Amino acid sequence: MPASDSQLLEGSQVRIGKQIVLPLSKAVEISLRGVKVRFWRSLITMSGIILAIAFMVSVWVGGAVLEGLRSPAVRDREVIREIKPETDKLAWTTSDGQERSVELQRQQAVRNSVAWILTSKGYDAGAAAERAAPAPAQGSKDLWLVALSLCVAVVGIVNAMLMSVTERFREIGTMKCLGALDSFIVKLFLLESAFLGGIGTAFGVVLGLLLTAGSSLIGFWAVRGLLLAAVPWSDVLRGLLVTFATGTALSVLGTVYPAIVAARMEPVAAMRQEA
Amino acid sequence: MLGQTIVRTKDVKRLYTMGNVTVEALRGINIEIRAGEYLSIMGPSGSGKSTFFNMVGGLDKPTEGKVYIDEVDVAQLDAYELAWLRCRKVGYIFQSFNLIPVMTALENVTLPMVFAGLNNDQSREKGMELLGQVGLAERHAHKPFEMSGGQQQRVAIARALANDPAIVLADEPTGNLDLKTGTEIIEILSRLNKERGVTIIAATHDMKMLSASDRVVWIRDGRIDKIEDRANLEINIGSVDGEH
Repeated sequence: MPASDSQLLEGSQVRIGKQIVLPLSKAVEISLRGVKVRFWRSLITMSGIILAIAFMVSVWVGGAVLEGLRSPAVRDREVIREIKPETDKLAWTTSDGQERSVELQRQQAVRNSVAWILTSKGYDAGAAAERAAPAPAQGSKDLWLVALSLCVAVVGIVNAMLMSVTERFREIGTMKCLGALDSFIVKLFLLESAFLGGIGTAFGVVLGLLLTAGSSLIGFWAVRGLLLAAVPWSDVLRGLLVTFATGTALSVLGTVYPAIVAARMEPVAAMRQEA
Repeated sequence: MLGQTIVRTKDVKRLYTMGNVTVEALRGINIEIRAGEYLSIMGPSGSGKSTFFNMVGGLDKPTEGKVYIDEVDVAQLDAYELAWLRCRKVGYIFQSFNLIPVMTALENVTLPMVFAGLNNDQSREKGMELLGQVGLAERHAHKPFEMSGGQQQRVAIARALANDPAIVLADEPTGNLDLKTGTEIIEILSRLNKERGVTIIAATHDMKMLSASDRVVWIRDGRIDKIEDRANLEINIGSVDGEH
C-alpha cells in the first residue's frame, strides 16, 4: 500500500499539515523561467518604462554634457567654428577716366569660444557655480517632465500587468490548486516584474545614451572633439545607478496591485472553461 | 480495496447571490466516498454538479453543512492548511489540462513536489517515474503546446499524482478529447485507481466513464437524484443512454 494510504489509515490524529513557505530561490527560479519564455512579449509590456527611462537618461546625460561644456576649463577654449570665404571688390578710376575693378578673395577663419556657441544656441554659458540664480526654471521643468513620464510608465505597467493577470488566470488558479500559497503568487509576480524592470531599464539606458550622443553630436558638431572630455563621467555613472534603481523600483511598484489581485484569485478559476 | 470514508458531506448547501437573486446551487447533499473508490458524478449542466465537485475537492466552502475530507472539516482550515491539503491530499485533473505553458512536461509534473518542499533531484527522479507510468518518459522535455491533447492530459494525470494524493479529482477529464484518446485516459485513471488505490472522483458527461466507475452519483437540481453501484449500472446502461 502506498505511503499516503497508510498515513491516511493510521487513525484519528490530526491529518492536515501546514503548507511550507518556499525559499525565495525557488520563486526566483520559476519567475526567471517565465521571464525567459515570455521575453519579447514582456518587452512590449515594458516599453513604457523603456521609453520613460530613455527620456530620463537623455535629460540627465544631456544636462551633464552641457554642464561639462560650461565648466571654466572647457568654456573659454577657442574653437574654429567655420572657414568663411570673403570676397572684396577693389574699384578705382584710372587717370584717363576708366573704371577698373579687381576681385580679391580670401579665406577667413571664424574663431569662437565654446561659450559663444552655447550662447548662440540659447543656453546659459555660465557654469553652475557661477550662475546668479541657483535654481533655473529649465531644470525644474525637466524634472517635472521626467517625473510625469515615469508616472505614465507606472500606470502603463499596472495596466499591462492587470491584463497579464487576466490572461494567466488559469495558470494562477492551477498553481493554487497544486498548493501554491498566496504569498508565492505575489512573490512570483513581483520578481518577474523586478527582472523585467531591470532589463527594460537597461534597454532604456542604452536607448537614452544613443539619443543623447546623437543630439549632442548634432548640436555641438563644431566642438565634437571636446565633447568626450567634457562629459563628467562620474556624474553620469551615478546617474545611471539611480536610473537603474528607479526603473526597477517603479516596475515592482506598478506590479504590487496586480500581484495582489492575482494572489486573491480563487483556485476554482482554473476549472472555468471560458476564455 | 475500499477502505474508510475519505470524503463525507453533511447537508451541504451552497447559495450564490447574484444581485438581488439568490440561487440555491446545492440543496442539502449527503454522501460518503470511500478510500479507493472510483466515483463518477453525473448531471446536466446547471445541476450543481460542478459546485458539488468543487466542495468535495476543497476548492469551495459550503454555505451550510459540512464537508469532511479525511475526517477534517474543510471550513475550519486556514490558508496554509488548505494549500497543504490541495498540495498533498488532492490531485486535480482539468478538462482543459491546465498545464503551465512555459514549463516542460517534467517541470509541470514536478511543480507540486516543489511546493511540497522536495529538492530538485528527488522531484526529478519521481517526476520521470510518473511520466513513465503514463507512457511519456521520452517526451519529458516537451512544452505543452508541442503535445497532443491526450498527451497533455497524461502529463496532467502524472502531475495530479505528484505528491501521492489520497484523492484525484477529475473535472470532465475526457471533455476535450476524441473518443479514442478519451478511452485511453479512462483506462489510465482506472489502472491507477486499481494499482495505487487512489480514490478517483470524476465529474463527467462521458458515458464511457460509467463502466470504469464503482459508483455513479446523479445530481439534479442541487440534490442527489440517485446513486448507482456498478452492478446495477450494467443493467441500466441502456436507459441511462436514453435519458441523456
